[in-house]
Amino acid sequence: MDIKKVLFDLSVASDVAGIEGAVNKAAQYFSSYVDSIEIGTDSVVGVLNGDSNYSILIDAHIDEIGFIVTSVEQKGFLKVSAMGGIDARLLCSQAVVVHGKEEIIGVFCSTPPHLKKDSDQAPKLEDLYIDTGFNDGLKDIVKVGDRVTFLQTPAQLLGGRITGKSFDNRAGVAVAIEVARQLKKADNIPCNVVFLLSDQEELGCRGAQTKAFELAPDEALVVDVSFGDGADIPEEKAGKLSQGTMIGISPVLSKKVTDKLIEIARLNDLRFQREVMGGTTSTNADVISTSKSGIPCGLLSIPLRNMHTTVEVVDINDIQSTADIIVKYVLSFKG
Amino acid sequence: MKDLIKQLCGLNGVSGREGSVSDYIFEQIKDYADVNIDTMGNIIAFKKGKKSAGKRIMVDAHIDEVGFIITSVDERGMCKFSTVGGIDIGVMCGKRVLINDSIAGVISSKPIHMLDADQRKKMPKPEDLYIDIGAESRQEALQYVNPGDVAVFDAGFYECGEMMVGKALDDRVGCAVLINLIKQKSEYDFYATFTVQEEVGLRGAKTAAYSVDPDSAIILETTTAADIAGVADNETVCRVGSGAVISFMDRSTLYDRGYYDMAFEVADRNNIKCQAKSAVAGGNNAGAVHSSRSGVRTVALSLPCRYIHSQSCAASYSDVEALYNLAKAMIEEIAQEK
Repeated sequence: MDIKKVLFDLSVASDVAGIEGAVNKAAQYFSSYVDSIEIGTDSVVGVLNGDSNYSILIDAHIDEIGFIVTSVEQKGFLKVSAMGGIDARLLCSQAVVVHGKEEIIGVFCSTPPHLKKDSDQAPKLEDLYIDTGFNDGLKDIVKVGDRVTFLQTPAQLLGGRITGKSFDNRAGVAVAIEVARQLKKADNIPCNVVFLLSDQEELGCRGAQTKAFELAPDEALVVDVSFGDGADIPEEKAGKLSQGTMIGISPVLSKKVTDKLIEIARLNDLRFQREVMGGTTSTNADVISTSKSGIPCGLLSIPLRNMHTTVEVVDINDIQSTADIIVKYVLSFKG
Repeated sequence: MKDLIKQLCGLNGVSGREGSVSDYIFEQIKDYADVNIDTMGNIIAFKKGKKSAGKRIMVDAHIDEVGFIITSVDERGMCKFSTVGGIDIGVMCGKRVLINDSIAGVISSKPIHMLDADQRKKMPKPEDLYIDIGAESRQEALQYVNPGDVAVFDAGFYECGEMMVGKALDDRVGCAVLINLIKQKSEYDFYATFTVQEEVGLRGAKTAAYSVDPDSAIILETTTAADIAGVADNETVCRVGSGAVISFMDRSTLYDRGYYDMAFEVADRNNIKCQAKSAVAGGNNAGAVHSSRSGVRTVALSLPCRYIHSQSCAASYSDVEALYNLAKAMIEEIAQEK
């Protein structure tokens, strides 16, 4: 499987909560590798049947950060609120797609330097407008509540590194697809594997919360992205790109699952790094672990630079190593 | 003209590295004018008209664009850079760039999750930014990128409502208008100059004006339109969709009063939409041209453009048409003036 192609396809598809572009794209890939698939409005559940009733959930959130239209102004301008953690410092002159009755392109306004009172001051999202270039007629196409996503094409950097939007967490979705592909080829799978591409993580892990309840797995592996080195982040707070998956270690994660992930990685000579957190993980693992009467969770993260921007950077090899560890983990299950 | 503008904006020509733009323009015009390229890299073309004007008229557009120049590569393989021309910090943070026409890079940014409340309120300092090309070490980076290499914004060209959006509209639109003026039959002779290094101090225009030695000059430019939501009506400078922009004064030039009035009169007579640039701000090649040799009567005609010097310059095709029509009419009017 060409992971780069899969991720590029997933990256350009939009999926801020309520827009299903990426869901459909991911479902297309998944359908060849799972025994059954259920495509919801904002999420996907795929199941690979195994030899026992035990089920392992593999979760990757498929939503991305974006915006929601709060007012349609005169002369083609829009105001928006954030859906997820948006850095307003990066927005000026950024192109976006407005998902109205039809998709239209807009640009975040940038105040010309001669009108800026204090150029050191970062703009606030509530002061920024999106310019759609419409003179009139915008109200017929866009209404309050419509979604807005970033417009960005992905690109190859040096080596295995690539850049684009929404790699948080389409990189995790690509891992899930690669895991399904590899497991489908296996002679027998020792347990059921349930893949969940969940919604609304960026708004507070809401999709995983309700879906984990519904699916009630025996344990879960959450795949997400985490901070990669690079942008002046203290070394101890960042994983290194190209050095393998980051296995999460935290009080809220199952020690048993975590230890086994590390053991599997070691036994199979697969690159990994430890990501140690003192409390919750800010991933779906936080809510899945307390679903129902408790679900043991493990966390694997792909190191990613420039999180929540249109220039996120990951290494394809880290996606591969994450998938490889999960495949070995599942195949090593003994009932 | 739409296709021509898109083609021109897709070419990369940071000041001092305008080769691919000038090659393209040379090919476009070589069969329609006598074309020379001077030491600086300016294209100087003589367009033969039906008649001689009895005076030398120079029509200018600059071919360079703002961008970035790599200054050093650190041990992590990250590229430090300077801007070439004026680029606001706000439009470069978190944007994609293309180095040497082939190497993609990103202007990195600390994730919002790791910024404290104060950091979220302040723009980063230019010296804290760098371009990440995905190298794992200085050694690897230096195989692809060296200090002195240049980068441009790497962005698409889009239709956005009634506007076009892309990088380098400043001043490839002026170039497109000038190319079309050369390709059409002209009533009068004129000189066309496609000049380099405007963004770093009007340097190409200085030598081009010396060589052409014009009596009169028309500068085709792109200028800031601040007609965006949240800006007071009297601060908009000019407006997208309101036609060609005529300057009375900017920070480089106090324009010839006769030509300024003439431009409005010509526009009115020919039903061409136009507007005054209602702020004394910015500057353009007129600064170098009007003070060349013993002085040159100069007029600046511009395209109103939002978000100029960014990856998403936004302007309207109807204004391009107005700019073309007004430039053509002004050549004839100036030629006929006694």
